[in-house]
Amino acid sequence: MSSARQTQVLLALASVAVAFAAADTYVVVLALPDMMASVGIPVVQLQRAAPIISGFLLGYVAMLPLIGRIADLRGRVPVLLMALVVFALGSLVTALAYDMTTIVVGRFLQGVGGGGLVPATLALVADLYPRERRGVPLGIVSAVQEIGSVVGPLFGAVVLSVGDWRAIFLINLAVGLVLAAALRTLAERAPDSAAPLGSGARSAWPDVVGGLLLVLTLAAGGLVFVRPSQLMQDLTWGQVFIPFTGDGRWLTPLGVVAMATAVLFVIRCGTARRPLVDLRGWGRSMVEADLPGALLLAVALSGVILAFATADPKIQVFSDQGLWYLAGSAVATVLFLRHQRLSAAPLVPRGAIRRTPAWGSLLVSFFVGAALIAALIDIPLFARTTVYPDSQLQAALVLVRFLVALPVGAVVGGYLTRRVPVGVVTAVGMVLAAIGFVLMSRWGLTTLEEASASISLVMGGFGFGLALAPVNAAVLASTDDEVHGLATALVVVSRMVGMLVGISALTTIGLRRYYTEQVDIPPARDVCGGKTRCREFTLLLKEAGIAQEQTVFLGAALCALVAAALALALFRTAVTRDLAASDVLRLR
Amino acid sequence: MFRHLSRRLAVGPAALLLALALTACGGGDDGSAEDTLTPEEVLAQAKTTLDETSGLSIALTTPGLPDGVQGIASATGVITDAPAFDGDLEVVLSGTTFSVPVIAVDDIVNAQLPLTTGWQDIDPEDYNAPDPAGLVTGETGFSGLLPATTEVAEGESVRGGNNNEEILTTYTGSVPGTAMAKVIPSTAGDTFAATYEITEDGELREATFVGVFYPASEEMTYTVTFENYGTQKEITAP
Repeated sequence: MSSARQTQVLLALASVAVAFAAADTYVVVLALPDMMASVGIPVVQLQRAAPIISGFLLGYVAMLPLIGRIADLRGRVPVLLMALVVFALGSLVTALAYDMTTIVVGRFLQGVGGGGLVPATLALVADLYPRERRGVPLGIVSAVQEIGSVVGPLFGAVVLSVGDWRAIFLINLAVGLVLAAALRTLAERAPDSAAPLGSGARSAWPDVVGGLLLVLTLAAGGLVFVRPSQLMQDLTWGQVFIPFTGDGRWLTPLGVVAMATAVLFVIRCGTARRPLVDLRGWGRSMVEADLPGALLLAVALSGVILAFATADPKIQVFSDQGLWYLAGSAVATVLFLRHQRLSAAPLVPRGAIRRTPAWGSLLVSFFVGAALIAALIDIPLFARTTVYPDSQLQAALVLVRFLVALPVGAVVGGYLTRRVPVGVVTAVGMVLAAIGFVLMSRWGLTTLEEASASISLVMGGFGFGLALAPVNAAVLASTDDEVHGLATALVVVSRMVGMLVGISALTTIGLRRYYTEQVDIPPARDVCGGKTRCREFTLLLKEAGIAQEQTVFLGAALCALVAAALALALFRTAVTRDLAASDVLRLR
Repeated sequence: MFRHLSRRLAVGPAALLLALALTACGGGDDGSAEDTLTPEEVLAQAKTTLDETSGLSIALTTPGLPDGVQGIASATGVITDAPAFDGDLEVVLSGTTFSVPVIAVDDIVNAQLPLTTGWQDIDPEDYNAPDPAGLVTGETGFSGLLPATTEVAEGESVRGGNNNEEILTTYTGSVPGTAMAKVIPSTAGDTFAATYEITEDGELREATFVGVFYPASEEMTYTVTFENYGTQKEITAP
């Protein structure tokens, strides 16, 4: 294999990994009801389950700025490998998760890994192709990522039709590890391509003690998660599951061993001459790549997630605890902005997005993301709670009707962007999406069986697609050449932050609105004439069950309209007609 | 596998931790008094203990209802000898699981239905569910299944219960459908395979029943755990 050929294969592998990680954002949307049931959250309390989605987005977003820089410092291949390993670890934790916290921790790690893949892959493209030839490979990477998000729900549905939701994450684990192994083999054979910095020591004898500690940590930790009944019931070995105090899983002999070996493994990696994981090196790179900034951003966003997740919409939007989370989030945001201002190498270079359409496109993206996530989560959820309770595949196919219209809209939007002002194109797209959502908010228990449902689905998907290109065009036209990469990345980050806040806020606020405005369902005895169950009453219950989703659709319509208005107002000065179509169609 | 691991550990500081952890717990010797009782007598004793306690925490769960079944997926809460129940019921209706806070007292089952804020009284039989207040004692209680169990055989001792701290003795047997129908009204099977786990103090800690609980459906499993015997709680109607 020639060197150029090898690097292309490397890029192809990295793209597959990116597609896989992208698929993972949405892979859970169909499994959500099952996952909620596994940890004892009723379907009507979606706001408590939102962190299953937003935890992934949090990891993805918080790491993006950090990892792009680390990829410069440490080389693309090591970052890709590390990202895949973290992704695999996250998949393992999620697959074995026994409660909400462990699910969210696993999803967060998956997000961190998935988020790390994208900038490293894009940087790989930049290494492999001269500037003027990057358009096509960059486009392919973006396209592959979008394909991932279409295939994600389908993949989830297929797995769910033969196994349970844990199988999805076990497959993720396997694929992550296989890809990492393939990438590593390939990188070693092509040392000249995007040479991993400081990886020369790899060929030497590996660190046996470190390896042993890692195996022990995984074994003990795995047992704490799984608690195999044969071992637990054993009179002698069962003792390792008895907590020293309280009744948690981790303050047990086994849990303490797992934690101690984990700590020892970390210490070993930090001190060994040839550590399995070069922690010191990674640590240095992280600090250089502005770790405090990334941490502050993560804290700010997780505060928002927690604030909404702990709400009790029957009483109020934010619990007292939630208000504290919000306050913490606000403090972290202020500190983050201050840190950016004082930093020598800020995340967003000063003045990079000073023009109105530039920061405007971030704002528009935020609301687009908030509306989009409502569609991605609530359409399949609606399908499952109404017409396809037992068939995830059918529910997935409902979402596919929305998703196939999206690329069509994207192409049309890219074409229009060169002829019509971008603000107008964006606004038309988002108004279409809003109309789609308003129609969805009127869906009843059987609407999805009718052909008319397709109209709102296709209209919504097409509208979102239409708005993709003009937003990118606006930011490209109003930023300098050297920050184009960063600017489009910020548009993506902004959209994901919108998704993250949207999924949390819309479900909670939607439910709260439902409770404040909805008149209570009449007592069953009144409905059923003395009995306490009848078909009419069950119907009432089911209608109440979808009311939450209906209000979420309405909220999403509102977000879409806000995005439309902002685009009209802020994109006026963007001159975009001479941008190349390939640049404009870069979705991420 | 564990022994293998611990030998490997002998070089590391973690070995010390593991050793400390294991010795700290000590080895429980189970030369219990139950050896002198017949299995039937142990079950009878467990029934008495169950009947006489002031209250306990109960958790009725299933790994899954058969497809298409409308029934009860779980019941968790506190039951007192009033009899009264305060907890949550999960009911599956037309494929959707509804989690319902329930307070049952004085033969009235008050439920807070999903997406409503008030309480209303419900006839649990309409929902294929038992009155949760009666799940432990009396005509409709699980305690009545203990003496109705036939072919009782003592099995192994296992570790289990709260925090895995207890040594439990397992007893297996079968429960006739007629007896089960009193507890789970929808019962359709003729016999149910029962497994009881009983503590050294004669408390029934866990009971597992396998059989056909709903008409025209497959076999399924209900597991019931009984913990915190002696719980005192005043449960009043909402």
